[in-house]
Amino acid sequence: MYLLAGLSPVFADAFRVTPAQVLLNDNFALTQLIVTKAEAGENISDRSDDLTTTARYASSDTAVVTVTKTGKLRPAGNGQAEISVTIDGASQTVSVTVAGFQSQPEVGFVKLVMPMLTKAGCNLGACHGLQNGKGGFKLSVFESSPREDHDIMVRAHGQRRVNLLIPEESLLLQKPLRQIGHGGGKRFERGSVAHEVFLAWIRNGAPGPESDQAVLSKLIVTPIRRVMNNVDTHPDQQLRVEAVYEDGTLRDVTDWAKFDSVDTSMVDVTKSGLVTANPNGRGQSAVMVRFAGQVAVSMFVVPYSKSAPLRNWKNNNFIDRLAAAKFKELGIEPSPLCDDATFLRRAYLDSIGVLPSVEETLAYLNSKQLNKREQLIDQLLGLTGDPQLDIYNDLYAAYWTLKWSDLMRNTSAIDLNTNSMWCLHNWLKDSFRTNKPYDKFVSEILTAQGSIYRNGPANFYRINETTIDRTESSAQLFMGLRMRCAQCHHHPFEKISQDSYYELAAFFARIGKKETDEFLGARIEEVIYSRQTGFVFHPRTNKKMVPRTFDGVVRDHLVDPRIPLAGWLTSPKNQYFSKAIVNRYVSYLLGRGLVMPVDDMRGTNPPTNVALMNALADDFVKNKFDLKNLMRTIMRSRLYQLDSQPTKQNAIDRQFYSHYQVKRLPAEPLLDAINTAAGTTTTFKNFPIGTRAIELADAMQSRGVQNYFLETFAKPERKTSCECERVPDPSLAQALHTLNGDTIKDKTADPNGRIAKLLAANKAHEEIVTELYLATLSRFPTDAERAACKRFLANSPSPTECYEDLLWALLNSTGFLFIR
Amino acid sequence: MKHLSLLSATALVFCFAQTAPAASINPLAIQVGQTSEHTISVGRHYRIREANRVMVTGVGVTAEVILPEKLSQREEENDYQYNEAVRIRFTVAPQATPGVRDFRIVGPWGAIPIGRVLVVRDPLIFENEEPKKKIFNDSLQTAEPISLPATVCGLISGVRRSKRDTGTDTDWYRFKVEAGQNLTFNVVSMRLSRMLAAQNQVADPIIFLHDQYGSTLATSDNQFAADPCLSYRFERAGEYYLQIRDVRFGSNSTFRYCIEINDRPLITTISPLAVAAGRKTEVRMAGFNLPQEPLATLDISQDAKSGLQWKQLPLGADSTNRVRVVVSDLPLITETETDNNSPQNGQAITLPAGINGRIESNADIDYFTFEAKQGGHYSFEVLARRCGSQLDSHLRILDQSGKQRALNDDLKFGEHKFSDSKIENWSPRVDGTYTIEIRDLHLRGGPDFTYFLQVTSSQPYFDLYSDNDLVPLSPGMSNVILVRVDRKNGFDGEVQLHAAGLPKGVTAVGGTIPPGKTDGCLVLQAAGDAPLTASNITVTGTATHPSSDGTKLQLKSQLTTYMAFPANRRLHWQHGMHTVAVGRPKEIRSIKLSTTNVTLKPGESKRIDISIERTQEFIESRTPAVRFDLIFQYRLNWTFGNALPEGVSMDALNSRATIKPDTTTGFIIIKADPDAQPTQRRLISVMANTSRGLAEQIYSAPPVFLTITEK
Repeated sequence: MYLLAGLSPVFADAFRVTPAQVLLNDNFALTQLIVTKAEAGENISDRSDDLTTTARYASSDTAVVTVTKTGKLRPAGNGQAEISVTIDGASQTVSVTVAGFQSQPEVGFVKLVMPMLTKAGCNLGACHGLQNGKGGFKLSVFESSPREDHDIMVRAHGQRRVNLLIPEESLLLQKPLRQIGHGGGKRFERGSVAHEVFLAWIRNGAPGPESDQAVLSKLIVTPIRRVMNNVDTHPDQQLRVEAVYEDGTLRDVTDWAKFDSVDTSMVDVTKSGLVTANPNGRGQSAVMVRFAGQVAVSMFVVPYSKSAPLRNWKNNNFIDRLAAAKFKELGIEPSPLCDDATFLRRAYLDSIGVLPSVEETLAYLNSKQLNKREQLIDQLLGLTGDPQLDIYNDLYAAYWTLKWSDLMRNTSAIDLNTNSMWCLHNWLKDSFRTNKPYDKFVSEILTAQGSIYRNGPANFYRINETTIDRTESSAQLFMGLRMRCAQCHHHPFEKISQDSYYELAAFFARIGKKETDEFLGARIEEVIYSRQTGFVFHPRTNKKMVPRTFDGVVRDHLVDPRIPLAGWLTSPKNQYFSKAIVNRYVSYLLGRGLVMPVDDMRGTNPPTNVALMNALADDFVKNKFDLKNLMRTIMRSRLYQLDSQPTKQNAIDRQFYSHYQVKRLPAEPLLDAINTAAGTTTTFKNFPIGTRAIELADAMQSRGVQNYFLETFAKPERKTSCECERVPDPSLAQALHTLNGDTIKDKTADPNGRIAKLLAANKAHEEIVTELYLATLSRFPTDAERAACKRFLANSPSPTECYEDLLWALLNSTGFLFIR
Repeated sequence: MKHLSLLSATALVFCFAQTAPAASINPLAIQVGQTSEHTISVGRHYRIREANRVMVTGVGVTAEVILPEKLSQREEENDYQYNEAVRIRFTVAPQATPGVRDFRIVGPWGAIPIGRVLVVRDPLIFENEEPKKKIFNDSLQTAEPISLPATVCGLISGVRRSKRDTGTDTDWYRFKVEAGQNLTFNVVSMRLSRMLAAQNQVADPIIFLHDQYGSTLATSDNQFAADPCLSYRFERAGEYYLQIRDVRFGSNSTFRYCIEINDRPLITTISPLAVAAGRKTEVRMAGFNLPQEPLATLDISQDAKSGLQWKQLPLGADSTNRVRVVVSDLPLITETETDNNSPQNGQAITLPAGINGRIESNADIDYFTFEAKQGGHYSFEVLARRCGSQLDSHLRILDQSGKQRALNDDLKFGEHKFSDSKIENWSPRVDGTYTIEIRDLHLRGGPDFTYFLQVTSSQPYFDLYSDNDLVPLSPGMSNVILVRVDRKNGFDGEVQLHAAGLPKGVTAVGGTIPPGKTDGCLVLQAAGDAPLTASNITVTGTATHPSSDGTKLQLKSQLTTYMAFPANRRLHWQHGMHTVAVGRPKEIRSIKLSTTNVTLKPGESKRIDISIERTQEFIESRTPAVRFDLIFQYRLNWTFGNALPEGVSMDALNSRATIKPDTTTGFIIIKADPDAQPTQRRLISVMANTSRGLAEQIYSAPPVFLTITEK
């Protein structure tokens, strides 16, 4: 082991080796060297090429230290030696001191044995980490229970797994070496470090978890970020992983760590931490590193081209500045701005979920105002302060209530309770209508109490019936954290332990329900309240858990621990909170979150543009959690207003918003858009005629909304809090329904519809065609389209048939079905 | 002792008052100082056009039946089937207090279930939607113009306007306001009609305020139970819109509503809640659209009765709406203005005491300390929600170490749970200083989180209640009132039942509820020549309890009446009209028994033969069966009235307790268990029950006296 302090890297003209000095203070203190090509001026940066695999290594004394071809050092005996690193005839040396080498080395169970089990894959969920283990051998998943693991390895089944007299004949060695049958195959080689660690441990009597083992505080991955500018010539990067313990020591654990590529189409990583960019992989991805319950990532950027001049680019706000920096880094040239008609349609559908009317479209397209885009955004969001202009606020509230009703899983299917479903719906709608600050909105949900008929958010605790549901839903909805894994074991991709899970659950342990007679006669009113007591017990240790937030602070409360939880969770300091919501809104408006999936905000799933994520979150906090302001900021950015048509150069990009990401209209806005375009209405059971689909309160289910079109276009039943329940992808059934189904057919031919009225008013052919284009695509027809329509009319049996077919074609066009 | 009777007198306590009308009235409201005509609709079981009298609760409101000048042909042909409505003329005196009144229509058939009508101050405006004439008010464009102040009466109807119409209804009204005007919109709907057991038959209104461009300015859903209420300040002069609908987009011919729209304050509660008689007390008002300095002086006369009372507060030359006030004879203490938010800083009080307090802000918790003696018995009762306060009280008694010694969240009275709290008969283990902790269950607080906390030495008492609010009789027939007792604070004695205010020609035989039993009965008998009339009666119970000084404490309690609704769950609504009505025999003309004096030895059983005489109407209606019983059981086998002595029951297996429509005789076997205790001439009732759908009707044979001898 080498010490943190007092080290400085070796500088040379052509390359640099890190670390410059190495202290190896036990038999298994392996160290990975990294050799980096120096730029002009001897500087190295995240763009510097990695030469670790091309360098040649030699030890001055192999009795002290040996070195592999890949630059991994391994102690052989106490003493001092030098490692020479040679590239193209130029050499540098690294001095190595080995101390503490023993003939019968001590091997810590937690420190070395368990990480080795993880590295070898023994405790994976698919292997001995299964609920009942495999072959009678059950290990805790990802080293979460060292004491129990030790018991089962050493004591269970009459100590059959270790042979303390003849350690080499231990089942624990014979199986992974495949000296006897092993369903999991060979897990390590004879003479490998893993083999020697196990052997040494058994020779020492197979001791249990160390009582004095320092707590691992974090992992340091080197490099933490890498821009692979010369991917054609230098596609590799060796990683080195150091474990930092709370006592200040650190240890190279590269050989023990587990590496996974987040996106294997971009980069691959070997078991030893060598990352290789794929020849066609472009963009940004991460390599995830795990060791002893801690995780870290190393980011890899593979530029699309050497440079991007960003011609005609102009920053509208900070979003553009940070996006432009990313474009430059990646060498992506963004698409130009979209035209006004495209922007109009996009802004309407994205912000209020409806199509602009023909009159609104004409007014906007004919406007000569220079800042008409900004004005439109403010009008749609109801931010002008002029009641005559702020007329879309109710639609805004309806549309975002729909979104949040999905997330909150608001449905009358639970308890068959229509009144409580409406109560939550109305609270959501009122919150969006009044633009309630998001921290207040979430705080009201988390601390909700009282009647499920009078206090909408109290229904969160009706919908999420159990402490487990409440814990997981709160984390996923408001912090973008999927915690389900941690219910049973340490989260494999996150720093959240099983303890953290149940400590968060403890905040919800006291929630109770009581009944009152104060409301309707036959319907008993349920009241949510905080009971005097209520506990959560750790399922493994049976320990009573205290309510503790992820920052390690116990936040109990005399009456209701949800109060301090809400205070912490919605605090400006809690970046989980602001980033989670910012990410959702980026995904709603730009078609993709900075983190995907949007509610999986792991440390190992970093944003595609970290600086932009941070800036958006900071701006959101600075503006007092104002959701409309967040939307306005994003919609005003040039990034939002880019054309959806990709250029040849940026067509491959799906992550960095170099062109607007085309989205299929969700079920309800699509049905409303069809009605707007066709001049018709859809009747929904128990709703007045004229009700828009976005205003439907209930979920898609037998007792709630029943409509074949909405069902086909994936209006959700609201069974999960995951955004993924509303499937965004087009399907064959959808295509068949719009092409051949009765919804569009009936609406185009509706006797009270747009075409019937246009014909009844004896409108000219040109006028009808223009109106149909404005009503569907929010733009004028092109000359070619006008000409085609003329020909179509001439070849049609009747004008009615011509225009119905034209409307049918427009409604089935991708220009209509998608937000572009 | 007076303070202990508060809970028993809580009829119509809520400002979101509980009630149970079964008669539907249109329009719902009547105006002070005016006479107006209303249509009352009832079920098919009454020849309503023969109605001749209307009983109305409170003072200042009278009503009379308007006899139809001419019957419709359909009514002429079959009045039993179709004559379901009657016109009533209400007259409201100029000085009548606005608020809710119960009424009951009386006729030769007896009396109908109660209805409710709202007395209001402002002119009435009736919704002008007429689907048959294609006049609608269901959109902003077709909104009905109204002048304010006014009370708008309307209906969320279920009329389908076209084939595609889903039968939903939304009503829109438009009105003009001045800049800076503040208006309150108080909807009264569900509070007047929630007697209907099925939820979809009770309106759950929601209101929206819109500007002239249709944008929503404010909304309210469930302020007073399911009824909305909001107050809004209009910054700009102009035309605005009020929209009302059922929150679920439901509609029904019973979904009637009143919207009181005016610029007066709407007071929901006051602080202090309790005042002493013979004093003037300055109170702070809480509610909607309050004046800048929301203070008023409450003047309670010296002879005012202790208990809960409705009062109007003077407000300049005007007065407010009615608010609930507690008149208390306890020494009154006001919560200190200094910190009493921790047990250490608890405000010291001396018992007995009535504490006027308020949970002033979120997370406020009030503490009071008192000295208590080992062996002493103490009672603590919070009056808050019952007085219009928003408080859902949570009450604890802590000892000196902070350990909880008693806790109550909700109190139960009769079949109702209340959000107020009550700890009764608490006795400390050791002498010492104890702490009362009171807070809102949800840690809320504010101006309308007032409370009155009574802390007294526990005294023995009992409560009586019955869910038989309308007792039908016919000349020569008997009927029974089943009464349940809830004994408190060590009282375990016998309760003697009495009835007063009976109609002419009706007498009552009052039974007893012996120690250890919770149910008893009174049997009412109408003489053969009893006139067809009705009156409201008072049932009381009396008892004695040995006091510590060797004397006997005289206890008395008045029965609280509920209206019960047969449904999946039997519901009870408390109101103040306990009516006995003598009418024409409807189903059973007479019930005769082979004996009215039954003597049993323990282990013995005896047969009582029963014969009934059905009315012609009953025979024609082919009502399936008559069921004889000695106890009253609701559906789902929930027993409410069981006046039989312990160890006595009906031998159902060997009785012929259910008789078919073509039969008039049956018998029951009454048996005493071997260990039945001796009793002398206990009043019981042999009941004959009929049922139509969910509605069950009880009839009774003449009083039966049961004696159990020694073995």
